[in-house]
Amino acid sequence: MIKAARFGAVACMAAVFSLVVICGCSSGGSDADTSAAAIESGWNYFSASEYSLALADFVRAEALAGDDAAALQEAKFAQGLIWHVRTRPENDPKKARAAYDAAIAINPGSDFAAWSALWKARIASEVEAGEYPPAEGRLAAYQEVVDKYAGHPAGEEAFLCVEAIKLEDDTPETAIKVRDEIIAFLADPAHENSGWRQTAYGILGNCDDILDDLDGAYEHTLKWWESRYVNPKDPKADPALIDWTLALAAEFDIGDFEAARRHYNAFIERYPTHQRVFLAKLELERLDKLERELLAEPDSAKAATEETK
Amino acid sequence: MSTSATKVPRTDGENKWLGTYIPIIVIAAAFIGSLFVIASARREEAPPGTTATIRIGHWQLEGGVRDGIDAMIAEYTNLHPNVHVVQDAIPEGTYSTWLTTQLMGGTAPDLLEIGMVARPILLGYLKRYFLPLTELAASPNPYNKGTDLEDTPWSATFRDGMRSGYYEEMAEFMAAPLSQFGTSLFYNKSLLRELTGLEECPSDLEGFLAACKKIREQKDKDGRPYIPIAGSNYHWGMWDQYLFDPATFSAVYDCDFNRDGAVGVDELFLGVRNGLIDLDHPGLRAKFGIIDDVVANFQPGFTGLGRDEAVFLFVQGRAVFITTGTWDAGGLVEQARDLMDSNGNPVELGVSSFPHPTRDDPKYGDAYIGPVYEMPFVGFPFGVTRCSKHPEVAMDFLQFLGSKAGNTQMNGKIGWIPSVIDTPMPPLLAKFMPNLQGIYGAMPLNLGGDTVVKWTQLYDLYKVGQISFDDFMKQYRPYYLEHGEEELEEILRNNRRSQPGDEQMAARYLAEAIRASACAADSGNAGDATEIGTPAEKEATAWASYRTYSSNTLVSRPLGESFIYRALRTGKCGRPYELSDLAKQRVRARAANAGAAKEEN
Repeated sequence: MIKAARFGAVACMAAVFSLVVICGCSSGGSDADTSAAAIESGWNYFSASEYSLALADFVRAEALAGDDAAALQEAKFAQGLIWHVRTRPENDPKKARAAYDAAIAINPGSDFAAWSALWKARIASEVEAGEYPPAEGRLAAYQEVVDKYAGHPAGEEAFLCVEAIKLEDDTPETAIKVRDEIIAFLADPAHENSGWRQTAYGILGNCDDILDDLDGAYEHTLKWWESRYVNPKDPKADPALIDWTLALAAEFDIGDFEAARRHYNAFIERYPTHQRVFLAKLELERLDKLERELLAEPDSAKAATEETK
Repeated sequence: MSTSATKVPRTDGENKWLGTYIPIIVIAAAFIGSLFVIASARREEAPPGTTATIRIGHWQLEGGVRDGIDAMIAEYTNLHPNVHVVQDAIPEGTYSTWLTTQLMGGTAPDLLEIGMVARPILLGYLKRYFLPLTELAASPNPYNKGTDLEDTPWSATFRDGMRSGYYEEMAEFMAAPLSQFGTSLFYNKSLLRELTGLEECPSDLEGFLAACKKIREQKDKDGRPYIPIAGSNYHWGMWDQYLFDPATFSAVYDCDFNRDGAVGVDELFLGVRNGLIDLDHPGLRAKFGIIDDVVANFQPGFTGLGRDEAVFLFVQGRAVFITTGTWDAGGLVEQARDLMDSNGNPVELGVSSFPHPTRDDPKYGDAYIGPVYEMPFVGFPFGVTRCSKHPEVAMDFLQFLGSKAGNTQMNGKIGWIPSVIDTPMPPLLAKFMPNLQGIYGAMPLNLGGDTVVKWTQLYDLYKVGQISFDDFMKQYRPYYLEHGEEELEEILRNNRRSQPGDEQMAARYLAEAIRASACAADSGNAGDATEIGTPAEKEATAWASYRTYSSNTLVSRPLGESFIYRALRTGKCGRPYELSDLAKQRVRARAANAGAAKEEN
């Protein structure tokens, strides 16, 4: 009897232990039985940065896709993204490129092909030891995406990457060229409703900076602000503190003191506890003083008249 | 063989019984015991009638905080009897490890105090493990109904506009700050009166230093000189932020090139390198002069002392002034409770803002062009975790704590300043209210690596009077210029090194946008994109979030460096707060036209 009790106790413990092990073990990913379910699960894991589990789901989705080309393409694109962005050293640019290429090959004209092309191009811009690779390679990679997917948001993003890389040489000649290309982009009806218009205006501002075009900078700052996405959940969001930016540009760059006063007062009213309020108030006082000083300069009226001719 | 009734040794059979069954009995008892503990804990977590149990986790073990939260839990459960709230107070030293394992394990409390984690990692945690509060922030707090804040968006009801809980990288509000903190000067009012005849701490620096001189010249009954200011390495930063550094404010006009109202380490270096500003700047000289004047009133050897040594001096009645934050004020008052004045009466404590030079101060008036800006340091921030089984209840409780009435009550119990605007507070704490318009430091003279070490070494020598300001700058200036360019380049390289993390985040936003589009397509009727909560709105917002993040980090990042490289290459950068020639021309032209029009009339 003692032997039986002993045997029983050991068997119980073994059963409990086995149960714990079985519950704890996981083959990775979900047990989705359709590609759609596996894809959904995969994206959930991806959003949670659970890359191994996400990868398992997308591999499963690929296996379950069968004739569903769209599902297969999405699974391949997602795999490319995982191999691309998962935390080093687990990333693998070679596998990422292969997955992106596979996704593109399934349906070269589709949404996922465009996103695959963009993110494949992004690999050419990977920083190594804190340095960007040479501009030629980066430009060529993004330009390929622009050439194939100009009207797609991925192609628009690639276009802006191209323009930003060009501006790295910081020369007026390049700034003129980039400015003209972006103005053409903004004027093109194909991009009339593009969500990338705000970024485009931002890059125009960089061109204005290189070219010392103060009026252009002011105008493009305004357009940058006007082309923002207004989030219905937070319609008054203003991370750029736009009134502050416009006030300073109006005062110091283009000499529109009335606009400067308007924007300083709007800023003070909206952000009364902000660190910059003291400066804003000092500038409001200084505006009057500046006007008086400028007018008191010798021959200021004559000089002003001659300058405006 | 013995046949007597004496004890005989146990036989082998009996030994075997003990050896075999005692371990099994112990294991079984432990198992049953653990079952009991788990069951009783579950019962405590979910008393009968509970439909939702939420947990709130934080690291504030200071006196009063747990009691304050317990009091609010009791209030909340009076309103919502079916909700049970459990508080998890975790020691500060282990909080970051605990927070990380809880989040990763999916067992985190519903509400978590956010902090104790480096920002780049925190951003990843916020995106992955916390729910955005943006929608709540944009709407009025229902618990403010019946008050003057009834129709005010929740974010606007906080002293800092809830900016401390807004994460620009994510374009979302992720946390609500529940308390405000401030730093001020505590003083032994009774001792000040006895030694100087003054009833209050002087608000001007000149008067303050004169009082300190008088204090220094007198001795206590044991023959020890009184110490005007109890200082330490811990307290140095407060003096630096609220008195010394603001003297450098005018440097903003010389090198705030991006016009954000502040001077970054890169901007200052460019300004110095390109000759727009020098280390013999009047503001910097004034700063070091003020340091000299004030430090003469600290106790000897203060640089090697910690907070407690300085507090000890104060609560012993040997020092008159000490700086402190609101988080410590209650403790200081408690420790000084038994302090008696020379007449045997309990001492009176006072609170004052830091004294500062007035505009007509003969030595520092030119540098100090205003009062000191005291950033409304709003903290004690809480977010709602994604693993919460009752996120709507967690958010509701957070809004309760962040309402006018709730926030006042909670902070009243804790002894802290409420973070919600227009709330009453005890007179002692009212003196910690920050001054919200003024000057601040604008000459951060160390870039990184070698320059930080060099600066710290020379600064420490200066603090103890071993070198003069001129010696300091004579040694530091060449070093700064020699090493600065390489250190600036390293800062830029470090910024670029965050690219893999940025790509991860951008990819997450992209994934969410793709899914939002799929949901909108599957919904049959995506609805109006301007209406909150419709599939169309979620899709539009998700794509906007992706574009914002990608634009700021991946598309436009190289452009942010161009000004720095241009300034380094050309040796030129214009003064940011000077009118351009175009601006001057336009102002003159307008004035001339106005004058001409007036003449015609």
